[in-house]
Amino acid sequence: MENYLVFLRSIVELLITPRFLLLMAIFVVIGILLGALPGISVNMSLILALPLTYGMDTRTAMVVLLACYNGAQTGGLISAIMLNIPGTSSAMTTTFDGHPMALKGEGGRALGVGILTSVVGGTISFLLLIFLTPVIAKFAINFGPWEYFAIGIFSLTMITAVVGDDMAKGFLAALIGMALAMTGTDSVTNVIRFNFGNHALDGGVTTTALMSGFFAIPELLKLVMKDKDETLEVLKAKKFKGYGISFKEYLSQWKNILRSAFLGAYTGVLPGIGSSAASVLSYSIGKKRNKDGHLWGTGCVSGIIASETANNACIGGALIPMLALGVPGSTSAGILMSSLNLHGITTGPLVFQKEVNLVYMMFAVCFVANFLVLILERLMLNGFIKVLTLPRRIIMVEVMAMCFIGAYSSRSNPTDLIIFVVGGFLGYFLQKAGVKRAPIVLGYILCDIVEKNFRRGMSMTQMNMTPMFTSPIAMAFLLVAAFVMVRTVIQNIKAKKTRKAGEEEPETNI
Amino acid sequence: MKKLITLVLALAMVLSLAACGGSKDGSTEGTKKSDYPKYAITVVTSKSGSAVDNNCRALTQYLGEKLGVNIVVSNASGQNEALREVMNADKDGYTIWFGNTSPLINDAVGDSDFNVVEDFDMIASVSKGAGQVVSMKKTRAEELGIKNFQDLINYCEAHPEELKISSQPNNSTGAAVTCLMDGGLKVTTVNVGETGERITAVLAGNIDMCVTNYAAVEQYREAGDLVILVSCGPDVNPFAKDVPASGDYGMTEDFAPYYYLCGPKGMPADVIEVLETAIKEITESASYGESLATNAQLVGYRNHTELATFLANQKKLLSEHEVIGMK
Repeated sequence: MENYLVFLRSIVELLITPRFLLLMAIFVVIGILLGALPGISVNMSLILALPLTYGMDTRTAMVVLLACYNGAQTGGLISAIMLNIPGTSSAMTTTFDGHPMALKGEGGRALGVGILTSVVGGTISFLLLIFLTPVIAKFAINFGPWEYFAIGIFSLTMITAVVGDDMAKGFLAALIGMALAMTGTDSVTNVIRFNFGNHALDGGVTTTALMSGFFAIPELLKLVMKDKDETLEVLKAKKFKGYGISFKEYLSQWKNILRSAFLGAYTGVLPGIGSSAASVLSYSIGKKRNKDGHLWGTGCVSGIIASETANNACIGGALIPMLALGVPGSTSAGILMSSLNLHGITTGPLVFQKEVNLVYMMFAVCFVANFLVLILERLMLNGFIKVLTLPRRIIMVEVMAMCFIGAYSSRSNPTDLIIFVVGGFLGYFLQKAGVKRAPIVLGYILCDIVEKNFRRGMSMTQMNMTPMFTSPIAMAFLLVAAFVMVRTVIQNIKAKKTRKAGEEEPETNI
Repeated sequence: MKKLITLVLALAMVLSLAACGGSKDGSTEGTKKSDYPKYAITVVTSKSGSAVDNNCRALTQYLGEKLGVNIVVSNASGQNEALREVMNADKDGYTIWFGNTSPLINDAVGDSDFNVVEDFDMIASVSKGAGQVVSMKKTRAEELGIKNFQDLINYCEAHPEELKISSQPNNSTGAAVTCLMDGGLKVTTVNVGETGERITAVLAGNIDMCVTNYAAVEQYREAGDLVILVSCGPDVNPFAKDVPASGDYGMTEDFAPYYYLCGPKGMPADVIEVLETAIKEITESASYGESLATNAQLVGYRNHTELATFLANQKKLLSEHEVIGMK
């Protein structure tokens, strides 16, 4: 009880201390802007803010970093919706429905819903953070390599939700994604593999460079191939109020919201999975479970809700193991932990006893920053929309410049520029060949989780797979995976037969 | 078609601009003592959020202040990648490397395409991780009747290779386990991942023991979740003086990670001297020592000559051992 009073006191302190409030507002805005820039990841935003905090006291440093973290995580949806290029890798699935909505003149509404649901996702995860951190942390300890492996396999079967009619092409796409993920330093033994003798590839194919290219270059090429100078005039066509969605309509999505928030927070808690996997998983499961799931990819608000609720719910999730176990749930949480270390704070099981004021101050910052995102990003929306009413060819030149800078700056390696360009052309030609992007992304993101944990599991059990089948958690995930796989294959075959009678599969942005 | 050409040209322009940003000063002349450093120095290190990155940022705060220029920390995806990037950088002292002795292990077992000692110019070492420690879940230790390191040795003697210990190949924890095993500890090694994953695997009962740095398990020990059986190395860990050192049991080799700076081969001597002097002064300051202690690190200054000799000796020592996971 006393701890919750500390939390409330911290909220009041943040709200009545102009310095904290101003810093939070500034860094929320900076975070949103950085997150909105394709190629500048959430991690990169935090790395850019980190040196500014060296001279600050611990509380101020956390105010700056957590505000930036919240802003950047949400900012990614802006370019995902307006340009079909995700600002951050976790906003990839937001492009699937967000951009078709923008093309239909509902860009403002898509952005509004995205912001609102991001904040809702964040808030749910922060509530879990405040009330259930010790319990969830204890639960997370029970996840060993076999459990992670089973989750990875279960998530991979979700490819069936996004492959469309052609299962073979879908799985081929997933294998391409996995092959790209396996390049470079093997994360288990640190041995270099699949670099074709070229040491430039030792560091692997980086997510930022590949995904920026994968989404940005096809957009550029599509623009080039068109004769007319296309402007997103549709954004001017339809006005929207508030967040573009009524309270009633938003609440009608409660199952989708809760499912996505839970999945986001859950994947955030499990170290090494991350917000990109969270949004892909939430989108794939939602596509199967939601009533209008078959229309996702054509511009459905519910698709944006699934993606954006999950990726923001990851923030609170990732902070749980970082604080309670000293194990960061994501790279971003790792950077926050690094900053705490630099300020002489060690996280772990005693942090709630030793640093109770700081911990609850951090929770309070997450809460207040989240609501600042709701207000400030909405205020910034009109500005973004105005920028996007400029001729698209002009915007794309700027976007490409930012993508190149972003791809290069993630590890200051010129190889990333090549990965960006090659990944882009690969994305374009695969799209032309009718191969969907979502399975490639899913394969790329999940490969490391599946492979690493399988090998660690085998190492732990001395090449014996029995423990995988005796772990209740692992078995549950594997059985559900097998069930989903079989059912989807049967459903797809049936649907294909039905469609042969004349119905076409709806064209999607997936 | 016209648009396509224009855009391709624009792309090329952006590409070259970005590439220019990435290239170094371009100066091939030696940097004069009075000039260096004139502008920002880039320190290339391991991935962001890692322990190495953490140590690097702790140092660069002081280094920037001392040299009066900005220090840009650039994160590669690993220490070897960072080394390779620096190896190919201009030799003007504006791109240097920060990391620890882990890449020596790859080099020692012949798994590196460069020589960590000979292909670089050493600058100085800054710190040393206090001995790696072996931890076991308290309830598991009680169940097995293990109260101290001697009990562990006895148990392993009676039940060879029954207990599982996790370290990570190709880093100092793997080397520490090698040292214990070569000293006669009969355990089975497994790899369940990095520090946090190793600790959670012990807590979950998936493995029996793990090797980590002391800072990572200190709170668990205090909370009564883990017991620390031994500190790997010849001397007692100054942060855990009640824990015996493996040196007391005849396992004397020291594979604790040393953190150091180096640059591409052929850096001007005066540049090395400027950096070396700055680092010496930083390591002598009390506040830097205190910041290291937070992570169970000790000040470990060595000048460039001493560092080169030390690394060559460590490499020789490592190659004499069968480093876990590599062979």
